[in-house]
Amino acid sequence: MLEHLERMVLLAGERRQHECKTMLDALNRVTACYRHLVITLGSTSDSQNLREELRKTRKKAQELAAANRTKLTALLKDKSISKEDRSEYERLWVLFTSSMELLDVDMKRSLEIGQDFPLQVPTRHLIQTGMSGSTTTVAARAMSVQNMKYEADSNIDTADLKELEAEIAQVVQMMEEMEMKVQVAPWAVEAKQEAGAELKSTVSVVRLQGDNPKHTSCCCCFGSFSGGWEWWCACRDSSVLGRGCDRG
Amino acid sequence: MTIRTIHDHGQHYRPRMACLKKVEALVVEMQDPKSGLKFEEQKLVTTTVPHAIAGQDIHAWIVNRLKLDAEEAKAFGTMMVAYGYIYPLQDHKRLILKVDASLYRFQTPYFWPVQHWRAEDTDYAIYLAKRNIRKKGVLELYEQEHYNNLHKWMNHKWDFIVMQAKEQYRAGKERKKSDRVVLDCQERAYWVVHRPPPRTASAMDYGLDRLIDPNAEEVTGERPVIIFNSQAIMRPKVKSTVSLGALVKFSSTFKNHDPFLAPCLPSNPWLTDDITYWELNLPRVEVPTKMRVERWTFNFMELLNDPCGRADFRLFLKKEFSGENLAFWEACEDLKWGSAEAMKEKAEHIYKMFLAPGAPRWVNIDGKTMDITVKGLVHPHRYVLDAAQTHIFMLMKKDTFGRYMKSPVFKDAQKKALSPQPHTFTDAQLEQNARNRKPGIHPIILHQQEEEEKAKLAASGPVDIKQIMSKLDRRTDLKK
Repeated sequence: MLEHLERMVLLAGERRQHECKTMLDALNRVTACYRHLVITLGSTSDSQNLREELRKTRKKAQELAAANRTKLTALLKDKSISKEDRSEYERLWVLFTSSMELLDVDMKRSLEIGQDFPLQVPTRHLIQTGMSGSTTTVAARAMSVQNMKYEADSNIDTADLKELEAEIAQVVQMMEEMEMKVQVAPWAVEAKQEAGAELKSTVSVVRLQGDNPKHTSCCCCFGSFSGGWEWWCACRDSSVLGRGCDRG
Repeated sequence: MTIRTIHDHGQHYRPRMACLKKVEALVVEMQDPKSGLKFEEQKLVTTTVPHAIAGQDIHAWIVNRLKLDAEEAKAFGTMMVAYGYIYPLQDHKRLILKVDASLYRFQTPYFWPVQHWRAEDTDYAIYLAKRNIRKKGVLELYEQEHYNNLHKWMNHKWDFIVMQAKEQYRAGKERKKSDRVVLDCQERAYWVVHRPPPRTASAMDYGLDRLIDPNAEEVTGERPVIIFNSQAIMRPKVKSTVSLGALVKFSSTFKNHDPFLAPCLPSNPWLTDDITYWELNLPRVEVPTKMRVERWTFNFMELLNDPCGRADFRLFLKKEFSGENLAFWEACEDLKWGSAEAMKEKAEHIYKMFLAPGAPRWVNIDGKTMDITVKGLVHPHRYVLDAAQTHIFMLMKKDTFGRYMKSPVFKDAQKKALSPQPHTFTDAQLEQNARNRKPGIHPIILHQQEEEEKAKLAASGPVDIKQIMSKLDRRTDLKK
């Protein structure tokens, strides 16, 4: 009976970790897509659509960030978790703050570049960088939807910039609070990946509800999965279930 | 995660880079469909990428717009390329403007150099990881070195870097083929500017960081001005003729010995990755180089600071039986720089050995200095022997140094000094040198060697003047 209870607690802990990781992966993906979008700002690929994509991706990033933060701070404040769990959560915390830093920088850059290259002026001077395609697919990947819907007004570039300033202030404040309140020593965290880990399998781990996973080559995963949240992978560290394949 | 709240009053801000905004204005002008540049298409194997420009077109536009002559326009264009506003499509590591049909493209505003945004190591690590994926593990030598270094000291962020790199790589795949090519070229060009390949320099090198943020508002008001001026009055000032004269004298004496200004023999290790120069100039080497011996003639401090020079001088003094001056000076240095625990014993030992009346190695100090020193030795501290040391130093400098320069010991050293042949490496040999780089001698080992030297010297026993006097007496007795 006691064993059964222990197992239940263990499983609950594992599930919490897994949820954290899923949310972090989502935040990571949105950060990467946001960076791709900001790189095209000011170039010939720029357009009203791009500004709208930027805004939507940013909002999504904000939501994910808030959700991640509440979850992780709750977990880190919990004194009853074991030492390995705590070090794992600290590692996740470092991942989270690094994502937030990238997002913060990208948001500030997008504000500057957005102000320098307005779209509503009679003679647009966009830089001819050689980019000509649209970024719809990237934004769709960030929002995890099949197709993007554009519904904003034509003055989105100027209206959005004001919102952006407010949001940047929010993010900066959040990060300062986090640094003050959460006592995590970043230098104490050890990476699980060794050098060259990115060369190993390139399966995408996270799928939020909605779309079908594209399963590219994965050396060690087997079994079918039914979409949705969880999927299992019998990789090296298969003692902990739910761990993503590309962490092996 | 980086720690953001650093209140250490250190230098964290980049200096003003006013030229960047001005170049940006010109770049935007170049885009004008009527008065700007004409664009071509770059034909690659599978795709064509628009918006390529020939170098000669850029050059002609600059000549026209800024009313410059051809050479100045070329320099100006090279500056634009060096900063990264335009990047070359062929030969991407050499950031110059070639006035021919070689193609260039404009960089996207995200990758423009900005004064208050540094090119961060995290981003560089993500870029290298992405490149690793694309090139399937085959990075260039210097990139591989950077990668290993970053993996070592950014280890706590490494999971994040790998995750981000993979995600960015996959997001990049969502775009169409020509855009992917352009994105690759853009990123690569950005990092060539901000992490220059070996044997090149970055146009964004700016020296030291500044203490005050140049973008911050200036503090106005009378109070700061009053404080500033009152502090300025209290500062001791040197006449500029004097200080500039000293600078000029120093520069003219040492200019051939500076590896930045004159080529050093055999070759500069930082440029050619060949460490012969360091091996020939180790602190204690059998045969010093000619340049090193020449430096000994410049001034007495140079001679003493060089371990080989000091050893030579010690040899000369031994032949003249006046080694106690140098020994005293060295003992004082030891006291100044040594540990605080041993200070009292050292001071006593020095007094007994050198300063006490009838001491074995008595040094000749004038009465006033001797008074001050003896009084100070009652409560010894690190600098108690400073006055005596300076006196002895000036004595050696004015008297012994001149005799040393004319002595056979020094002339012998000059004759034996070697002058190595300059190296001439081909590019292939340079690459090989870069690959065979080894870490040099560990400073701990060098320090141990120094300690051994000191111990040997101490063990060989100081020349006791009483012994010498007694020996001389015995000799004169024998003669009689």
